[in-house]
Amino acid sequence: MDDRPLFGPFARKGSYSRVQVFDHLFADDRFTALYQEVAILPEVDELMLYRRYLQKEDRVLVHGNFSATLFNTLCAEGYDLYLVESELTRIAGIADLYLHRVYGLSNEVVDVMGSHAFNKIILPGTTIARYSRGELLLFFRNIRHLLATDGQLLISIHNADYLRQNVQPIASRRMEDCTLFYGQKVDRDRLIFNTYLKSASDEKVGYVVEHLYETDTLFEFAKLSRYRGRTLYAGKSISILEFDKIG
Amino acid sequence: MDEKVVKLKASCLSFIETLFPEEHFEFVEHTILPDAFGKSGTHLTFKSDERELKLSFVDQAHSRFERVFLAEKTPESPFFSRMMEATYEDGQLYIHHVLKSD
Repeated sequence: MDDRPLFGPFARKGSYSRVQVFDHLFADDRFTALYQEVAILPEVDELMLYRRYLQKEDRVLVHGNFSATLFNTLCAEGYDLYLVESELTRIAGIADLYLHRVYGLSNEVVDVMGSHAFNKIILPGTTIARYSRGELLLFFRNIRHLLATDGQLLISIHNADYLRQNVQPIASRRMEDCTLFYGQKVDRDRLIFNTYLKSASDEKVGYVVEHLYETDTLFEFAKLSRYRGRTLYAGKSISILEFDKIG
Repeated sequence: MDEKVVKLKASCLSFIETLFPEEHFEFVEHTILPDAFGKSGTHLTFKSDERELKLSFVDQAHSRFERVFLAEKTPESPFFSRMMEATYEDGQLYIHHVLKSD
C-alpha cells in the first residue's frame, strides 16, 4: 500500500488491485455529488447567510463548493454573482440563463472584467481548508487583484476540536445504482474524507484532504498580505470569518 | 514548442478558421498560468486584422477531455468578451455551449 491518505475499510479496499483509487475525487460524478452534499456547512443555512450578508449592488465572486440551486436562486433574486469553477461536472444544474456568470479560471474573469472588479469574494463551505499553508499564503496574495480597494473575503473553517470529538468514521448513502460509503478522520491537523463505491460496472475509492486551521492562524496569514480579519460567527462546528482588504 | 502545443495550436486554428472563414489568423503566444485559486490553465492567443482570440484550456479531474473557453477582443474594446465554451477531446474541439452575454 502506498502513502495515500486512506484509512480503515477504505485502505483495505484501496489495496485490492480490482479497486481503482481516485486521487481526484471529482473524476467520478457520484463521488462529486456525495462530496458536494456532505461538504455543506452543517449548522448554517447558506441561503439565509448570503441573503443577509450580501447587498444586491455588490459584485460577488464565488469559488468552491457551491450548490447550483443556491447559485440559481441568488441570481434569480437579483444578486450579482459570478462563479469560478474549473470542473464541468460541478456546474451541472446551473440554469442556462446564468451560465455566462460561470468561469473556469480567475484569469478569464480578469480578461473580461478587468482587475479589482469584485466587492466580495466568497469561498463557500470549507473550501479554504483545501489549501495547505503555502497555498494559503499565495491565495491571500493572489486574490488581491480580484478584489476592489475596499473588498472583502468571506470564508468558513472547521472547528478542529469539535471535529476531533465528532467525526463520523463511516456512513452510507444510496446514489444512482449503488451505495456509497464514506467517512472522515482527523489526522493531526488534517481532516481526511474517504469514500468507496461498488456498482455493477466499477469499484472505486477516493479521498479529499482538508487542512484544519485555528482562527488566529488565518488572521495572521491574512495580515501578511494586508487583510484585517474578524469572526462573524463562532459556532459549534464551524466559524465564519470576514477579511477586509487594506490599501 | 512541444508536440502537445503544436497539436493544440493546429486544433485551435482549424476551429477558429471554421468559425471565421474570411479571416486569416496568426498564432501569437502560448502561456501556462496559475489562476488566483491555484488552478493552472493553458492559454493560446491568435490574431487577425479584425480580432484577437484567446483559447483557455483547463484539465478535468476525469481526464476524458479538457474544458476550453473562447474569448475575443476587438480593437474597439479594452477587454475580452467571452464567446463560447468547448471541450477538447482526442485532438478535436467541440462546442459545448455558446454564451449570450457577459
